[in-house]
Amino acid sequence: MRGAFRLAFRVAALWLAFIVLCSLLAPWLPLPDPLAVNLAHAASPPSLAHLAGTDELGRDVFSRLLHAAGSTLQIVAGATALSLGIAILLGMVVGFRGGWPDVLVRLGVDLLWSVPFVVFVVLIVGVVGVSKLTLIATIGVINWVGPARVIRAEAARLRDADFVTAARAYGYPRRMILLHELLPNLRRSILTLAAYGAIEVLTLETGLAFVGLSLPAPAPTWGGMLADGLSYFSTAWWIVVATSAVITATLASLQVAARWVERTA
Amino acid sequence: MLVGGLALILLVSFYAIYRLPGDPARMILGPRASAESVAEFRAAAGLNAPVWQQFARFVRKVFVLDLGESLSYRRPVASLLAERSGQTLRLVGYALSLLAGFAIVLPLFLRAVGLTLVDEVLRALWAGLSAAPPYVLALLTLTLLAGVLQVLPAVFDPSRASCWGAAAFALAVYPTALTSRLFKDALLAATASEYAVRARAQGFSEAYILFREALVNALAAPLSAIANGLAYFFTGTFFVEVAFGVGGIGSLTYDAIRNKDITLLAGVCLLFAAVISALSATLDVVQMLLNPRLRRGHAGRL
Repeated sequence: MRGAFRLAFRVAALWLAFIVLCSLLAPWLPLPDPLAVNLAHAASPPSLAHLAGTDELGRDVFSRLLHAAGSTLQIVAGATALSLGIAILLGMVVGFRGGWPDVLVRLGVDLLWSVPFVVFVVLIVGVVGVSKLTLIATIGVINWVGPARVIRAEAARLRDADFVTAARAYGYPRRMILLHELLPNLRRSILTLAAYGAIEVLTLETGLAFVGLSLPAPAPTWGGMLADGLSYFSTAWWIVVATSAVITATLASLQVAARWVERTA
Repeated sequence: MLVGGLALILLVSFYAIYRLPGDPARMILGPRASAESVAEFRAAAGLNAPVWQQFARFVRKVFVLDLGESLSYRRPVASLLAERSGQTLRLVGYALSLLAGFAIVLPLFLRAVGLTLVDEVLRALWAGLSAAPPYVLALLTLTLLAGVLQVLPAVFDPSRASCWGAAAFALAVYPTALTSRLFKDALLAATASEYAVRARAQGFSEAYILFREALVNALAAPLSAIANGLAYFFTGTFFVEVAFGVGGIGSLTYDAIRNKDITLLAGVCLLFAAVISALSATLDVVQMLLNPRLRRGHAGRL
């Protein structure tokens, strides 16, 4: 069982590394232009020339998938980092300090917890308009609630630990205790939260793109490609299948990575 | 908390409609309306009043279910929502039965007749499928059944059970995976507990222990997962309806986004927020009924 899990983790890590590398290097890789329309080869099934076939405009699906990975992963990384940053800052300071700021933040967290996020994001993005930055800001600012809860609890638990008391007795300023004593001890929680946060953001971002609330065409996005595939699923099944495979593989890999961190790190 | 959450949603919807993108009077009347008619409308709709008065009016209207007029359909938002909610409720109902059947009833049955291995295999299957988000599952189901195998019509047909079944399946996978795992853990813990051991020592059958002793105690965790699942259904239905072409609230939201119909969008958000708040309140009550220790004033309250 442990061996199987380790294997699963290696495969997942390999896939994540592959997708990140491809997204970074996509412009320099020997791939067909993701925007090049070629109606002579429209909707042709997978072949050696087009590994995942072409879409209704003859654009190479494989190349589009890898190019789309760039913007998607940027949004995922940005939104996850933003929400985690807010969560760490608020959760750690408030959990460590206690008192009225703690009560205030806990109240705010409980309040936001009872609000359906997807609805919120759809409303805000729908009204404000779509760009990489608005997506990162909206998702990031809304998604900090869950992680903040966890980090606050952890910080409150560590507040009276012996090493913190010792640091206090030495007269270290609070900022140093937070940065050098507390933060290293929260590393594992933060890594786990990052992985689960990335899963959430990726699911949400792709879903938004699927309903047309992401970067406008012709820029390729995973969700947008799913939406294209939806119109042609009976004639060009490979668009949906290839896109679904990439999205699901990435989500599953993140899931395995999150479990791995939870158990080992 | 419930009231606070609703107030927050009200505030955000209010801002979305009245404060954010330019002049609401101009948006409602359209770009060709004359300056006089815009000014007239502003006065009539109270848009010149202070912000807090506008907000109070907005809240009062929401409470009498007056959600304004949809910008794209040119019809009251409330009647549009009422009209479309039937399809969504039907879809969510089917998904809920799938969830209850595959996460609670079937595992219980398989365990009672000793087919534990089948149960394990099924759970692994759900867990594997649940890695894919609902819209991916919906599209894959559609591509496989309607595109490759052609057992499903390509266009959603509300009179065919198979169409509803496929859509409900895509919606139900994720909560089913979660709930069945929780239920199994709770059931195992309950059948290994001291009261189960006592019942076994007294000579009660395993079936009796499973159904009369373990079940009630094992239901609390999966029940809250089912309530979360319901909340998930109402957000997930958005994607699944769009993928399958079900004409419910989800497709309505989709149209609202496409047409930048902000009054409709805000109406949908208010509806979802109300439904989800009502769900979580119901869950609290049901859990109190199931577990006496959660009731206020009980000596064993934690």
